[in-house]
Amino acid sequence: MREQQAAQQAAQQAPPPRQVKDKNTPAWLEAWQDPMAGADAFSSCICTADLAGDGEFRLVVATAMKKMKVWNGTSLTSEHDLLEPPVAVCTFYPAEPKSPKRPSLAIAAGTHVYIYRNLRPYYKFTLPALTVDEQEIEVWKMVRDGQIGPKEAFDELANIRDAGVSLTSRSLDLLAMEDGAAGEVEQLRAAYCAAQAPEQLQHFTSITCMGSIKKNMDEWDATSCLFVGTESAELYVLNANGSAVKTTTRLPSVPVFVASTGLLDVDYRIVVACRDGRVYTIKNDELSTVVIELETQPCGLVRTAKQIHVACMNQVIHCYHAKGKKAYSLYLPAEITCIESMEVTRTRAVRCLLVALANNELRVYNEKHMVSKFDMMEPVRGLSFGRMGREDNTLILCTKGGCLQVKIMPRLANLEAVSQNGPPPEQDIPLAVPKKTKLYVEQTQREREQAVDMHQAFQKDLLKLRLNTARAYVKVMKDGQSPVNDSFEGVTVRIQASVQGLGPLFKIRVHVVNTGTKPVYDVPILLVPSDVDMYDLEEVIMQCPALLPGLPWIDAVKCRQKDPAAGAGEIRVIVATKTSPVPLITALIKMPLSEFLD
Amino acid sequence: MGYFSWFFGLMGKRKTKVNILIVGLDNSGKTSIIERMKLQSGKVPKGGMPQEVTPTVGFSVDEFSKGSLSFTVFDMSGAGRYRNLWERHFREAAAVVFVVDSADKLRLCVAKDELDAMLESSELLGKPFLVFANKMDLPTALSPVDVAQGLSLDEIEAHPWQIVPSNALDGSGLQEGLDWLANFLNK
Ligand SMILES: Nc1nc2c(ncn2[C@@H]2O[C@H](COP(=O)(O)OP(=O)(O)OP(=O)(O)O)[C@@H](O)[C@H]2O)c(=O)[nH]1
Ligand SMILES: [Mg+2]
Repeated sequence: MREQQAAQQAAQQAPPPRQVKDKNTPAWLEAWQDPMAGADAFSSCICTADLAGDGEFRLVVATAMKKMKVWNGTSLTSEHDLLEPPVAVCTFYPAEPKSPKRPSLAIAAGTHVYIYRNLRPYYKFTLPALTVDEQEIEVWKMVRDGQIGPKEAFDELANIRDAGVSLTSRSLDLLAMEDGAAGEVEQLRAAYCAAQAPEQLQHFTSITCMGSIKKNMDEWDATSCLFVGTESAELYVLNANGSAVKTTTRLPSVPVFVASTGLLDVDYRIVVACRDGRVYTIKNDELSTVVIELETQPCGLVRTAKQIHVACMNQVIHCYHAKGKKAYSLYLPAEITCIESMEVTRTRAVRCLLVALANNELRVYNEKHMVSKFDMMEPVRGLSFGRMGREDNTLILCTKGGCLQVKIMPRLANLEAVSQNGPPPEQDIPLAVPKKTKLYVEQTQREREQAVDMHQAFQKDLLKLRLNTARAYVKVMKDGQSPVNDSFEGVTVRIQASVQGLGPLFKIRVHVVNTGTKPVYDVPILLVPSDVDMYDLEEVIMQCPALLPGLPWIDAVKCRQKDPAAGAGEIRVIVATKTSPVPLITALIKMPLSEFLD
Repeated sequence: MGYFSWFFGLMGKRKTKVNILIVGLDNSGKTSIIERMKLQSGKVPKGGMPQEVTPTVGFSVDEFSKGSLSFTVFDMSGAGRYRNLWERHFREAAAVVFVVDSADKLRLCVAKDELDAMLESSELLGKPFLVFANKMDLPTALSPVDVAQGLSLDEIEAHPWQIVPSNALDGSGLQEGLDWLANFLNK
């Protein structure tokens, strides 16, 4: 029996082996950081993929400095120059079956998608040229034929532009030449027109965003297709090799963020956040009627199987169901720099949202609840969560200063939302209500029966108390014990007395003002030490011949402490009149200690 | 030399059985190390030395002997989804072998996280920990000192521990580690 108990106790005392680490706010593991990485990139320009087909996911970052950098683990393996500043990077598995399968790398920049295989340039896809406006063609034709000069061409093109027509970059460049000295601009325009007019007029747009979507199988290495959004408000889905456009969808505005779910050949949705502050959905090649309207411009978009998260410029993240119904909003304390979905597969998949804020915070939300918070040294420019190297739960961060950081979410981190709904826990703590004693019951009984009497008795006592207070006040006023007297026979006097000197010789200054309306004559002012043997006063009575209303009367008396070591005493100053039975006013001076002992 | 006299003195006696738990992240080389140790203890595998090791699923049990000790090793899978199986063998293990891929700098912090969780377990209290800083042959490998620092081994107080650089491909370092373990388990 006792043994059993002991065993039970031991079992209770032994800490649960694994739960020790299971803290409420999981801390990221700091895997690696390189402040000199020069990785200045937005989220869309960061991606990881098994580029060599060996199970080690390489990190690819296309930086604003027109460089593409590739890391394997913590070592930079290659660096490639880019021709234009990159817009987005993503990987996709091309159509042909090859084993081991290696993904192609696509970099969107300007009007092109550069496709790399084995990290070597492989193919360049160029966006289809747009149709050029008839009037614009006409203008350039006339310029070429010399019918109009650069000045007229400039005005004509400006008119066409103001009519809302999208012009070619050639015309836009001409229209941009408007600064500088008058003659100089003319010359520049003329030279430009002469150089450009003979060429064929082409209208290219540029890529604003890019993504990839699986074609017909939901496997990690299944064939997938690229899709790109353009400045001309179109969304192109490319074929599986990225060599031609498969479908084109016209959008009401310029797309800036895209995300997709589903399979292209089966059933798919591409969600597009546009510059007009709306989020559109393309459902199986058609623009769906479901439109989400935002209060402000979007600054991030994340799409999971069932939800759409849109980060807005007004520090809010809205979450919508796939059909466009709003689920909830997250209000954040600072501007949102980027958001990213974070899916951690455990025994059960946990879907969270990573949010980087302008105040350098990095937060993780599970639904509406913040499950982790972390402070960065610098604002985050771009982030990506996924597999890197051999670790699935890796977070890659690029900060404003080009620092690259890699963090790992520990396996045992608790990402479950702690629900804050329902009554607060305090509600379950019972109040300390006293017991119903016999006395208590009798008292309440009496209170109920004699409520009126009790109230009256209380009021009577209260009145008495007030009367006593008032009487005491009047008494103080009358006998002149306070520093300001109430007018006695129309005389109101105020007194101020101060002590100067360090001792044992002091000077007592007395300052008396008649604040009343009537003058008083022959006012003796008495100085009475509380202990007669303590101070030697030069004068005991100061004679003030007249106190005129408003005029101060000042006098000083020398005072010597007989025994400087005897501590400090008090001197009472009394202002009297010849007629009044009580002093006009009294003041008490607390003498300071003598500091000099001769 | 005390070890050798002890070794010869016990030659004739019956072998003592010890259970050893071998853990570490996936791809760190646990299975390769065991295969190599089996080979070094004179146990020739049936189909010759396997050329390719495949990632372990769940765990597998192996046996080989060294001197007077007969080891039963639990080769655990290091994949994230199987790591919760490790703790099931804590109680029966007499010692822990923790294998680290020295070239995987990125996941050294994960290895430390897992090691820390083990060190906190009451079931392993006082049991020896042998750390193999494996894959020493790779050019990008960290030195054993760096690995020890990354794992904060010097902060371990409740366990005897040792770190040994190793290479499972040619078997170097493995015997050195085993000797240390055998020394402990015979006390
Ligand atoms: N260069 C080198 N490669 C090694 C060494 N040890 C193991 N490997 C290789 O690392 C890979 C993984 O080895 P495994 O023994 O399967 O690793 P494991 O720890 O058992 O992995 P899991 O069973 O998945 O937990 C294999 O390709 C081995 O050939 C080593 O010392 N040097
Ligand atoms: Mg294995």
